[in-house]
Amino acid sequence: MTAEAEEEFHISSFVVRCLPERLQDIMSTVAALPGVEIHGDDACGKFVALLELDTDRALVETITEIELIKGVVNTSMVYHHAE
Amino acid sequence: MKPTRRDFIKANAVATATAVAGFSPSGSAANLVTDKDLTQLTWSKAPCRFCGTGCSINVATRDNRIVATHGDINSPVNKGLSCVKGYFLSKIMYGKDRLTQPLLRKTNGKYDKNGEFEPVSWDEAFDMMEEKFKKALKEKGPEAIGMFGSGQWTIWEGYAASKLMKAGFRSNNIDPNARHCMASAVGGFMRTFGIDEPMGCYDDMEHADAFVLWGSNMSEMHPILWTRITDRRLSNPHVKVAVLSTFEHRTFELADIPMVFTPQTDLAILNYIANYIIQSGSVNEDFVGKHVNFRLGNDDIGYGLRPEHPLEQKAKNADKAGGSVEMSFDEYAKYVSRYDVEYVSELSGVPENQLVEMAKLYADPKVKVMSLWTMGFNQHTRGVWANNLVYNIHLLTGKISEPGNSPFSLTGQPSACGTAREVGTFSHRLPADMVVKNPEHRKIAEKLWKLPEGIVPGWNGAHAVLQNRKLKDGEINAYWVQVNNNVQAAANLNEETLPGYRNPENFIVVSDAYPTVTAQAADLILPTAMWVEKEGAYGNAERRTQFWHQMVDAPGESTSDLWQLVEFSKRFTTDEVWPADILDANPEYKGKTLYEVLYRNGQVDKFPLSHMDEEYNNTESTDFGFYLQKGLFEEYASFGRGHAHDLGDFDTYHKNRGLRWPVVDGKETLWRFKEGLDPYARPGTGWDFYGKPDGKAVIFALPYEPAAESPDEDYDLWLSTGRVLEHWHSGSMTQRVPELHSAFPNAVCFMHPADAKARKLRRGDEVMVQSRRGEIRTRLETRGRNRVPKGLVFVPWFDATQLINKVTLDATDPLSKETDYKKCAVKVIKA
Repeated sequence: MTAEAEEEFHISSFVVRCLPERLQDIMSTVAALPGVEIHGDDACGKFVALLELDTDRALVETITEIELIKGVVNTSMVYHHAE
Repeated sequence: MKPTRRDFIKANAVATATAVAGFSPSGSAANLVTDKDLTQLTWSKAPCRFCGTGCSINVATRDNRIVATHGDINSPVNKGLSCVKGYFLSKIMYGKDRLTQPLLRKTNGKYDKNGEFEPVSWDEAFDMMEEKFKKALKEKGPEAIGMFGSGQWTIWEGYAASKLMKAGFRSNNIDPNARHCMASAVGGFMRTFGIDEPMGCYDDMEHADAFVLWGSNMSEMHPILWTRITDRRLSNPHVKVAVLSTFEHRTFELADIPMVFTPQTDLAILNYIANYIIQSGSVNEDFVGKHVNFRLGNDDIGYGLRPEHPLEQKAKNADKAGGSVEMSFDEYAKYVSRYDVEYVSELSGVPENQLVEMAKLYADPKVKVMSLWTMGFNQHTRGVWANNLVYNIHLLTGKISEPGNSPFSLTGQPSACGTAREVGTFSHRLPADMVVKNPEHRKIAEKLWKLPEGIVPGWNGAHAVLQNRKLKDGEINAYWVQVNNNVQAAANLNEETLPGYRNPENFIVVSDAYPTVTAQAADLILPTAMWVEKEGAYGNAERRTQFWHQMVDAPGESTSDLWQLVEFSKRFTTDEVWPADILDANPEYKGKTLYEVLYRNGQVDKFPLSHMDEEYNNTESTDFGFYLQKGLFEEYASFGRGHAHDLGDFDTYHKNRGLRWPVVDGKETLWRFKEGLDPYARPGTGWDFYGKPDGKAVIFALPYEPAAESPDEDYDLWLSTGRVLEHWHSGSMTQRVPELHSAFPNAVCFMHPADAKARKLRRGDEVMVQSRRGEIRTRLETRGRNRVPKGLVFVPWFDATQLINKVTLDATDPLSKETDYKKCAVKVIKA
């Protein structure tokens, strides 16, 4: 078994929906969070956030943090992989 | 460089999410799992265990354990998405304190109500239950036993339970916890349309031009449906969203018209809109003339408290709450004319311009409006009225039963519709909207159940709140609770709930997977299989019936509710529980067990085990020797087929992502009552409200009346209770998921900063929330996701260490018997 397989990791992708006029601000805030990458967005206020974190707990805390940003309307998970 | 496994998974995660977000056209292809390790998993579909949305979830199992779940891209409901609760579904069954064997309170090896829980065998558990149920039946009759079930029962569990109680034990004292959640919605549908459940469906969300949320925090409580509304709003700038609530919550983020109103004044706002429609000449006269009757409903109907309560003594129509008389359109117009914008704005605290702006959305014939509501309307001492009043608005304008024009009652539980409502597990109902009081309906049920005439009793059983009162008063003595946590959930815990559970005359059985507050208040606990540990079926809020297979086995000695119900029926004979005159007239039923007459009746046991899918286990069917779920479903479906409640064939539901009833010739129905869209709407009618004998829906004239308890000098704040995203209802399942628990570990009391300051309180302070009935200790929160107005506090109820229902009042809607958890008077002081 390799070292990589032994450590716990969580990879999860989300669609984040926010008010279009706040999209750029929110994306910069989210991109600055540890373990978060942003992939793709559209003018309607949606973007994809990829979370790569060591624990489930960090994952849930990051989601909650994103959800509570002013102008974020909704976050929904699409994919989650843990090992 | 060779891509690492992590890179691969990340690419997969991004590809899937961009596809779901609609950035890439390769939808379903992106969700294909190609990684070798991942393909070793077995994937199956199941509707989510949590709310009434009914998302389809792909569930992966390996070695008899669930290892992963994700949103099902083939589902028309959630289209590949899932909310945070849904993502942790795989963990709800693996809490450390999962129950795995029956537990009975004992002292020195014998049952003792004041003893400690000790493990016992199923035989010993059922022996004790049998003794106690037989004693209650023998000494006092069927009125002395009761059952409290759930909108989380699978369809066949609810059906088997209802049949066992109503036809087997001849007791209508069976009610689901949906009484706390959907009863007012049911009452509204039956009163206005004569048939239960929404006419529209989720597809309305892609057609509406305006959404009005009446007492529903969809962003947190129905997040996946909220994504559909968000997508509609953000990609179509003309679309408007109006949100009404007694405090500001996360759903307000998207609101074009955000409105915070004083509790209870929603009734006045609804009447104001009707008045505006009439005054502005916006009534759809053709529609109203052809499809609507007007009636004046009885007012001053009391608050569903105990009859000796002063409020009930004072109420003019407490015993005639459902009464109404015919009236004309002109009389109705005059009736609502007092609800003008000045009066209603003053009463509700909502600015006039916002009221007008919202009323215009409803009045404009070009704007398609979807109204949505959940507990804000239903948990209301005038809940049925609130439902009636919102239908009034849609009926005055003819904005109903067509894509985008849709008054839509959302549900809180995964099968509040499918099980509690359609199966008829309420204390007054039978399957397919029939009621126990109607002799013709009882006859139909007895015939379809192949039982002698006169078996189903004609008395309305005790509803949820009355069951607790009767337990306390020693009138119900043997009681069985399945799939719910009612000690935590019912209002006025100290005065009305716990005394009944601990009444020495009573024997309380609780079937659960975890040691909930309710289980701990019981005398016998039965360990119970959950969700995909059994084959199941749920019906969601848009009339969609969905099935799943048993994917893993339940731990230890746990068994499903279904197995428990059917197995327990073997312990009673007809001679013990049915009256001699019925048996004398029908001697062929003599000496039979209830198991034989209810479940081995040639119908329920009709399908052999060979009909099961061999890929999956089916513990109950294997045990009983026939395909139990299929037999129960097909017998149940015979009630609705041909009567506008048609369900499809059993086997098809295992293959598809659900069908919305009525399913006629294999085709589901998206919009009911509209000719051309609903096969039951008669040709030439245009709209046909066939639930009523004359095909016409009813507009009810009903007033604003104050709440049962309002703030005063001693108790100066409104208390509203509810949920938070991370936890679902009482937290029995979500609090077992450490990640969800840590995201919102304990309940808090949300308060306006100015109210806190006036009480010399600071954020984080330990405080007591007190009412005339009880108190809890909690912490104060003045920021965060819920921003309450001055004069109101909000406390979520998921936390078993802070039981807010010690504080709430057990006032109910006299029509629906549903408790109002949103309004009572409290004070908050430093602990």
